[in-house]
Amino acid sequence: MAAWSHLRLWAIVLGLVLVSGACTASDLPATKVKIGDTMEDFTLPDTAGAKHSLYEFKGKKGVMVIFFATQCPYSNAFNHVMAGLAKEYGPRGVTVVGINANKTEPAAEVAEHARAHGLDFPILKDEGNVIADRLGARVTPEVYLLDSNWTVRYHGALGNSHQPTTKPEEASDVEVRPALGSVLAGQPVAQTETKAFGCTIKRI
Amino acid sequence: MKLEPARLAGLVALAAAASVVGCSRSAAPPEPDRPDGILKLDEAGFRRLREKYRGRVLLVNFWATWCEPCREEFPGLVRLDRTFRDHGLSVVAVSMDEPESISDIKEFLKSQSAEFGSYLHNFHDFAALVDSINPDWGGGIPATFLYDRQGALVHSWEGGTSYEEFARSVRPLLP
Repeated sequence: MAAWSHLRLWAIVLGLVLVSGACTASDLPATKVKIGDTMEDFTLPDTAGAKHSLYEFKGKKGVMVIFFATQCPYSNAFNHVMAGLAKEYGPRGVTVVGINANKTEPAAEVAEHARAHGLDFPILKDEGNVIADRLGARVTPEVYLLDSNWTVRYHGALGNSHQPTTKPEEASDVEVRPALGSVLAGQPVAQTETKAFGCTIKRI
Repeated sequence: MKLEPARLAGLVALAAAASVVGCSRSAAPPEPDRPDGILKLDEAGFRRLREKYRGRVLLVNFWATWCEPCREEFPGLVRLDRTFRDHGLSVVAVSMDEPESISDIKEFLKSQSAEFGSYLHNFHDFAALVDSINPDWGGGIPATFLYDRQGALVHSWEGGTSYEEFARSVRPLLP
């Protein structure tokens, strides 16, 4: 009887291990990614509902993930900066991916916002802020620059971390640009983190 | 032991003085004068502001007129000020609006009947200020910071917070 109980216990333990090992794409580690960590693949829908994964950009020299909002003046001040970076660095091998994780901004609104502001790069909707949680994104705009091996090389502001602004004419990319240059050159990034300032991501 | 009248009077006076000192230790000092208008606040001003309120519990809220969660949170701050002001809490609001939004700030504060000190940010290096307040502050607003009577940071909130949550943290710090 005792042996049978032990057998049953082991069967339960084995079952739990097998169940917990059956990860889905959304079962990301609860810890936040840090500079130097490798970001695992994830899948998110775009504003039309089509699924996109991070690793579909394999072969690129870098991926710049930008958390953005439709209704945040800080984020909106940088719309032209985001569009400009995508236009300039796309041909050089860095893909910009925009992620909207605000529960208050539906996909249709995000799509219209992207169209109106010329955000001509993949725009993904992070319902449930799963990827925002994994990356530790807290505000908009906030940037994560990954290299070709999915290693996080830069995190923080596009620019203006010392002088936050809601004025498009003052918004700049001076802080992310050196990191982009280093990633493209295969060099270490000198300043790996800056302080992103903006509107808090409206989480579930 | 028999006390002479002169020595007895001296002891009574000493006891009275001790009780006054004792009272002043347990009560918060009066709230410093609050600005009538909205003053600009730079890093040095922020340090002075914290010094000015030393001895009282201080709650500093960073907000902006265009920030919806900030606006939603604001009535809770007004209620907090009214409830605890006479018990040793001072609330201070720092707007992150652009300077040209001063009339919007005034209009909003009036609509809320806010009676606490209000400032407009004029920080020279906001990233450094964030780090000096709390390096864990992600830089989002609303953000609120609670200092005890000794001026030590005891609680930080990033994102909209309710009156009840603020009050839960404030109460144990009051004299």
